[in-house]
Amino acid sequence: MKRLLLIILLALAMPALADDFSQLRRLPAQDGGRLKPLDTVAAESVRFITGKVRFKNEDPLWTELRWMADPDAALAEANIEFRNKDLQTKLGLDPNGRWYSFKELSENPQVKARQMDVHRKMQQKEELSNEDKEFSQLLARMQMLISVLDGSLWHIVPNSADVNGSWGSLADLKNIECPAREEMGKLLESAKANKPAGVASATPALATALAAMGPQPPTAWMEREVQYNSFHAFGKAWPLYVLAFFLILFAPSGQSKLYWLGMFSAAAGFSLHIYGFVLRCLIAGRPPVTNMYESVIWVAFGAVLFALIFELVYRTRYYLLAALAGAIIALILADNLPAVLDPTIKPLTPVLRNNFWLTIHVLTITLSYAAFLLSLGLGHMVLWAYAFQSDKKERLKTLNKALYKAIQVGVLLLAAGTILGGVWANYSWGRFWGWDPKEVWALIALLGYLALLHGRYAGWLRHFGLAAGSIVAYLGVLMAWYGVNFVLGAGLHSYGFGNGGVQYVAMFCAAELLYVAVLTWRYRVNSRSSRPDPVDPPDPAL
Amino acid sequence: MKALYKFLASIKLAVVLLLALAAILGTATFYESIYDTKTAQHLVYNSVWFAIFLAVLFINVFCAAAIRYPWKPYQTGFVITHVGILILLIGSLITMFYGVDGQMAVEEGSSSDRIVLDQPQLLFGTDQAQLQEIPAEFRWSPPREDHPYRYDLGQGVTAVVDGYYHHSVAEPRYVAAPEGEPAVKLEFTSSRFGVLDNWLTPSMGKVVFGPASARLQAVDKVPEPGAAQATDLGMLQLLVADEPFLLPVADLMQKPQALKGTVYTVRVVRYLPTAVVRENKLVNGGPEPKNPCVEVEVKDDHGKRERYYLFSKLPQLNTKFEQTGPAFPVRAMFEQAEPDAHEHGPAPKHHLDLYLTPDGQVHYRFENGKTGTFVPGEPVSPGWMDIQITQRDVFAKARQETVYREFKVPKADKEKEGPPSAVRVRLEGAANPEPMWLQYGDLKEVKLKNGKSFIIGYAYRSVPAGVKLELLDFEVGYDPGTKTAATYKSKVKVEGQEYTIQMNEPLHRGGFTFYQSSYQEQPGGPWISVFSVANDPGIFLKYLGCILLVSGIFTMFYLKPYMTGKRKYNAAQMPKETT
Repeated sequence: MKRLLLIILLALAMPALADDFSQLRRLPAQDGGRLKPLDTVAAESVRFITGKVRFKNEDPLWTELRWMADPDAALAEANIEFRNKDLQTKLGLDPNGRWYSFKELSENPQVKARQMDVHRKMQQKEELSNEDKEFSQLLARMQMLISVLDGSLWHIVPNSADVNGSWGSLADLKNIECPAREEMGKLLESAKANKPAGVASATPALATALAAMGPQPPTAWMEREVQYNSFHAFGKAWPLYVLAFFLILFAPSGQSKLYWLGMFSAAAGFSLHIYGFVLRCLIAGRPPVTNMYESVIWVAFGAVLFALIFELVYRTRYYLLAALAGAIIALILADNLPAVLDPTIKPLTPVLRNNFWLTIHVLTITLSYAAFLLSLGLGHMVLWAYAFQSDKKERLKTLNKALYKAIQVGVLLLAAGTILGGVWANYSWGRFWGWDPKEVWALIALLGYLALLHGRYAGWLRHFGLAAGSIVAYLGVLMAWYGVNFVLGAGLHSYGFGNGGVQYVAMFCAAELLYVAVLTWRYRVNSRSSRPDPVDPPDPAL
Repeated sequence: MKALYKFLASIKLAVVLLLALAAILGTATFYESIYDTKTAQHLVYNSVWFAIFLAVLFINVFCAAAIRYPWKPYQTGFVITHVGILILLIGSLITMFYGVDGQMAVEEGSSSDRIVLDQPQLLFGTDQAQLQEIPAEFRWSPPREDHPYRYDLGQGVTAVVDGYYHHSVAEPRYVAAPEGEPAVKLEFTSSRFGVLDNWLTPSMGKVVFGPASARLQAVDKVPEPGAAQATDLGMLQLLVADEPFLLPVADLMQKPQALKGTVYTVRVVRYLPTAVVRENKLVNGGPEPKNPCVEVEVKDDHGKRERYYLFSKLPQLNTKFEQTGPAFPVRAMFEQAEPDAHEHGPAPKHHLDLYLTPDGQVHYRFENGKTGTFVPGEPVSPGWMDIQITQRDVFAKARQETVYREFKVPKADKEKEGPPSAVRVRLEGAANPEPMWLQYGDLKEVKLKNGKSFIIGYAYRSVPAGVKLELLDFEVGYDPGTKTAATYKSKVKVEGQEYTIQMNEPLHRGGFTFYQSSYQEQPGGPWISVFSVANDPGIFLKYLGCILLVSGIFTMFYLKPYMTGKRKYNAAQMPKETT
């Protein structure tokens, strides 16, 4: 069993094999306010245009080379993703399609009319409807395709004086008589002839020619980011978490062999998780919790971290089961919802840079979300146990304690994190507390959990109530974490704002409330038929 | 009494208050999202009832801690936490009453010593240095004509405020007048930008409207295409006994013009696009306006005259080269715009010339050669995308006045970025009791019935910063290859010492802390650096309260077993389970 695990781990850790584009993808390019390998530029733009990480299962670099080599074919190829049934119908597009060609879209009279309309609205600063926003996204994708084709996306021509100065693009290169232009031409010839090997052999000369034009960033940086992209540690961490989850689920006790195998697998996944995070920090040159994507990854990390610590102390299995379930869902979401959870590494707004207090504040507060995620999972388990396994007194007792401990960690960290937010605000803006929506919702989430703890002391809540409450209170956390940015969209914390996913989150909230309601009903029925909850006495008042 | 004490100290009240607070705050954030920050603060956070609610919470926390006195060891964490909350609330109260939180905007090269607060006020008085300040936050209870606010200002003067626009637009408008220059109102319609109204007068020269520019000239007859364009030759500015005149050079070349209300007549003798000195004479050196110059003659009613050379680009060379009597009280300047000099972006693609003839008709010529005469109210298509142009009003002689209208901020815009507020004030006791509009920042002087002058203003409240802050230099750094500001910093001088203020690196001086908050770019002008300036006397108590709060929670959760001697939640006692 252990050997099998090792083999799996080795297979996962295998570095990306050298391929025809291995040198091309390491070419530095300037994009989105920073220097990054061409690999990232191509991956991000192909994902943006097509909605797929690998369009037609091609390497994104190859996809773009192919497009650039034959622009007419690229314009006629159905490669621009658009999925909005209503709009597709309104615009007279095939409502069951997913990709459309630039040609088809640009020649469609409804698309043209709508484009005029949206353009006018934007000029007059009218509010755009959600449909308009979706449509603008389509326009942006079309625009992105054009910028790939005309060469204005690939800013690979170094600034002759300053590595951080403005770099030139392929489009600029066309106007300069230089070796790099010739080499690029040769490279595209090979792409046009559909010869990836030819691209590979043309790359060294191009790289040399470009490097001669101006200072380059350290190759180690590009290497690191290519490694981050190709290794994709988070995508390898969650399968290990899944394995760990099932091993522990079937482990008979916290002492059994299966349990330890599960712990080992979880730890292995956790190591990958950390590795990915460290790489990302090094690439971005900053702490990793500044947008929704990074915070989702970090919260998953925190939940597993707390669970591993608790497991090492208590060996209950429940912590890890709860945390792994949460972490698996979080990582899968992060991998599959680029529109909501944008994995692009972007430069920060000035107020967020070089700030010790910001780092401390955000890491603390998101760690509290992690602890609450753990308590959310445990809350589900407690409710389930009360509803269906109320005869297993020991299990109930362990679960209750586990839940309470998770909430404690969360409350401590959330209180500290909210206050540290005040310290940061005082340091950066000159005010400790300004009733900013993000601050207020962090406080509301905290108040929710405080109400639970006080309700318990008041004798209004017992173990079942605390568990049900921990699920409901988590909706406050969700609002502070996600809702303020995506639902409210107001306030100073606007640098993390975006659109999308609101309906899914609303569905999640509804499902959680339904779960609480159904199991509460089930528990009531059970309690009435037997004795009233003997293992759920009120806590001694303070 | 004891029952009340018990109730106020009860944990059940605490639960109710916690949930109520959560509900209130949640509602407030939705309010903020729908309306804006200031409304939410006015309705909830800064309201009296919210303060009372927090006071009840304070009493609850206080009683809960007090009723358990004398405290037992296991209550250590509880006591520390709750005392922390009380201190935190007291600190917040001190900030609320004695704290200052304002802004200071300083232009590069100048200085400021006042902090502007977000509190609008009206200013009244006779002495500029000692104006009476009256709070004027009218947003949530605006004055109306049937519901005015009256302020007795002494000296028999009463200010009546009877109108308010939260966002106002001051628009110049022309009305027919016995004297003045001609004015024409054009309406541009397009699917791209909707309807735009524009006034044109000859003295405006070339005016840019989006994709096109336009120019109005008053002529006797429409000139042939290609003929010299009248206002191409620029404008002559004259100050005769402090009375200003603005006249197109092209007109003055055709015929002399009498300066209304004076004894003088002015004419342009010659216009030199490129004035050069050859053989000690000023002559023209070429057709391009490289160094435009005019020779101007001013005559009085006795035939005495003065002549000047005026240079547009080199006004320091302006000379009076002939004088036949005592000096006239006349000062003259000549200004000719550089051809196609545009502050922003490329020159407009299209141009429209308008000619107002003495019969009151407006003729047009587009840059594509299309010509015609406007029929009021009937649109003309110049063939620039789908733009249509309609002539609305024509005045042979008009005077400018300013009208104010309310502006509704579109939701996509941020509330703060809307145009400024305006109030309508009328002064009972003034020589002219007509109401007048004041926009933020306006300071006007009016005459009272007794002949004294009286100042009336509308502005944000400001307080002295105690120190003078001079902005020596402002720098912006961008993200590589973008125009996104990555860092910005201000080099300032305070009390003779130089400091650098930048994001997350504030300056503490004179009891205040100056934070780099934002900046404004003025096209062609110096940067304006905006600082947040704050003084928070409650911060020490707030920090103390927070530290107590957090350490109290930690004590309650993790140190309690050590305080009581019983390690109740001991790992050793964690129930073991087997299935």
